[in-house]
Amino acid sequence: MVGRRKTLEIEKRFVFSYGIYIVFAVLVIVYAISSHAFLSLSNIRDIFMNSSDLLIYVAGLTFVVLTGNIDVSFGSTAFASVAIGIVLLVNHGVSPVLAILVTIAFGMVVGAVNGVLVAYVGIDPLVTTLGMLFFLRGLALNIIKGSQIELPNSVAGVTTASFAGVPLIVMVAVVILVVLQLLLRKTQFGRHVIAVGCDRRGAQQVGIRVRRITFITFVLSGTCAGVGGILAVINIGSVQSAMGQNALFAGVAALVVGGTSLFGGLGSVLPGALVGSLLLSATQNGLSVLGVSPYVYPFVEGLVIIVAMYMDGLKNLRIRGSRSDEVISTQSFATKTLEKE
Amino acid sequence: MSGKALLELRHISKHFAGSQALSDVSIELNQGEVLGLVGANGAGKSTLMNVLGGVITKDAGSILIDGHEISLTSPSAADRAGIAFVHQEPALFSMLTVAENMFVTDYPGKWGWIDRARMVEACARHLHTVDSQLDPNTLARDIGIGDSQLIEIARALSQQARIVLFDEPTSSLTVHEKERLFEIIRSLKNSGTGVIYISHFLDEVLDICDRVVVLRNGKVVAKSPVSEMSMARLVEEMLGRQLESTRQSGRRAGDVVLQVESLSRGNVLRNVSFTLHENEVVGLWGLLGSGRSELFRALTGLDPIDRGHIRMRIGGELRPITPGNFLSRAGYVTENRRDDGLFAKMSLRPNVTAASLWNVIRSRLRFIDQAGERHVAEEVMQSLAIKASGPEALAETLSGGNQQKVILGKWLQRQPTVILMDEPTRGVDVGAKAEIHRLIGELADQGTSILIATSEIEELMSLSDRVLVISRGHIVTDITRDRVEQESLMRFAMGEA
Repeated sequence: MVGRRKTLEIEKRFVFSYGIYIVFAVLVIVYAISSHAFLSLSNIRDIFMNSSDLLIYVAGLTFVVLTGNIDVSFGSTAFASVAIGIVLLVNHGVSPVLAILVTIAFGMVVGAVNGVLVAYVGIDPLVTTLGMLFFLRGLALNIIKGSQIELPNSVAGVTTASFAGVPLIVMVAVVILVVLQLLLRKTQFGRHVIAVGCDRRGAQQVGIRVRRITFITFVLSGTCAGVGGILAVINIGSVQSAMGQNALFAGVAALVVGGTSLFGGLGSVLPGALVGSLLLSATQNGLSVLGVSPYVYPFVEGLVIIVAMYMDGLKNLRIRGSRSDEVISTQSFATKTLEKE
Repeated sequence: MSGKALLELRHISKHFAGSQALSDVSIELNQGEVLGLVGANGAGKSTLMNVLGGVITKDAGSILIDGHEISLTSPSAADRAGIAFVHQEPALFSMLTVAENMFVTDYPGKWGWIDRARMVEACARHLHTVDSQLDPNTLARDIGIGDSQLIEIARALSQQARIVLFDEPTSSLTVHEKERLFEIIRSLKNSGTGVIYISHFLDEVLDICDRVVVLRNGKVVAKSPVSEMSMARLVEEMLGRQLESTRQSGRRAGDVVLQVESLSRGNVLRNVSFTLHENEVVGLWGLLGSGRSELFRALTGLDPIDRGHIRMRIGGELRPITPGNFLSRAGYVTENRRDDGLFAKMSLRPNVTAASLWNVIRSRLRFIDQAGERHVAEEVMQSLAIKASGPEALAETLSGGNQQKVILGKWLQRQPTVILMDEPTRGVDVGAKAEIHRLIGELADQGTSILIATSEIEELMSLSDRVLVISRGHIVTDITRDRVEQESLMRFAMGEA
């Protein structure tokens, strides 16, 4: 009886830890069987190219969420940043390099404002970044005046630039992902991010500067939004008024599918953000390769996010479950913590 | 004192809203000395330790190390001063590894980049000094409390702390872990470190410490080498003259109203059996984690039980009742009133009727009779002397004592046979405490049976007609108040029987 429960437990652990890969594999197999085009080199390239901006958003967002906060403004931040950049580039004759720097700097400033409001002023992160989401969308629409602005011919070459068959934007995305993963895993800052997410008060008590860590995560997220926006513009070739509208849905879904817990403390850039973003991107790409009506997309994507949330919940249950085992074995750990408070 | 003490606390005072937590406390600790710090709950031990740990700041007094005054304004200041803490329940970050936890504030490496190899190596080395075989790469969520403490100790050693504070370190350790801990403390002592050892377990204090300081009501009431201390004197100093001040209630316990048999839940509750009578206040005494709150949670169906029977007097005879139905005839004043006793964002009126809403539902359409509800609330306010602006006062704006009365009022609407109270006076001021005690007495006089869990000896002695002692999930003693004496109190203090 006990032995059986144990095997079941191990099976469950396996499914929850690798569930995402199983879902991914099943999806790929189904698509590949349905259409030969899906696994073609050019289509795989498309999947990566179309997810390059999402990868960056999610990687930045991961840091915010790991501390137990949330940033929902990244889509609008990306939109507003590139709107400013492209107007400078097209209408004011600013050099491409400077336009890129201004774009990234704007994202950084937005992140800093979010960070100050959340970490130092103490406004709820959801409220802060939701306000920022609307504010920046309004700002961006005013900047581009609702029109579509194409990348000028002088820099259009960048959209197709590639090295050894790997598109430039995919390379940039991968490099940034690797850097952020190293930041998370190998540095004191990364460890402190996780510590804050595990136990905010505990972190404060050991002397971690919780506010500063929180602030920096928002700056990172804002900066990533700016960079991601640039990759999106290079991929699409223009800035138009719908930009970044679906980013919130896709970003949070990819984050959660990638195994990052919205409660903080648990998650990763690699493989988390990468796998989550690719799965979401592949889901959509497959539907389009199969020629499914676009009206079906949201339906399938919605299903994916629900399954993802369900798995996130199960994972937390699992952690809580293993803790409650401890309670029994080491004499009521949880209650004592409660009593202490 | 000859020469300079390693650590000297001079005339430390700390005042919290409404109470003097520490007054004029002076303590000195020498090199290579283990100083025991004992006192009943609320005596000021934790306040004193928090002052030393830099968690709270003192109002007055000075702290000297090697004769030089230092200021402890933050936990990191305490770190720098060479003061390390080993907590009762070490707060490790569950998703960081053992090594990452050990060096969380000062990772080895440059520019914020962690030198993982060096960190793991150093961690293993420090763990070795405390004789631990833990893998530095294990996630903290996968290790037990004993090992967590070892990590804190190892960390203290790694920082070359000169003063190590142990706060109730043994309450969740196994016998073997405890022996290992004592060995470590002895070796700390031999290497010249000063140790402050806080514990409820007086036998441990007498065993491991060189000197002992007793705190009572925020004051130092005794200081002496353990060789001149006996268990009896320690208890006497801790409790003051509370033992004599015990008064008799003159109540006579009536019929059995609740009978619990062999209630068990994992290792948390083991074969708990007891009875409660009419007109009776029964004190449930136990240390942190002994199973007090767990017993209440199991009785009321909040936690599942493995086996056991509960019978309650219903209509003149004892009938079986399931935990799920328990609260239909009982009240439960929870330990943490803000989180699970009160609807803090609601006003007093709906709070009072929350457990008996059917009494104020008048019309056929099941609308709540607001005027009736108001009337009930006003009645409760009057009968329990709740100080509030009126029935519409927000619950969260009331003082702790008044909040507790609102909760009590809520359950009284059900005319409960039995009321369970978990630490009903924790965090309320002295005046409100006395009033709650009076209310409890009145309720018992009127026939209600009350089971009150408390960790305060004073409260236990002044309220209960009978005392149940719970330890490690087991009721170890069931005695009437007149037999609760020093000897048995010592057994409580040691948590053993």
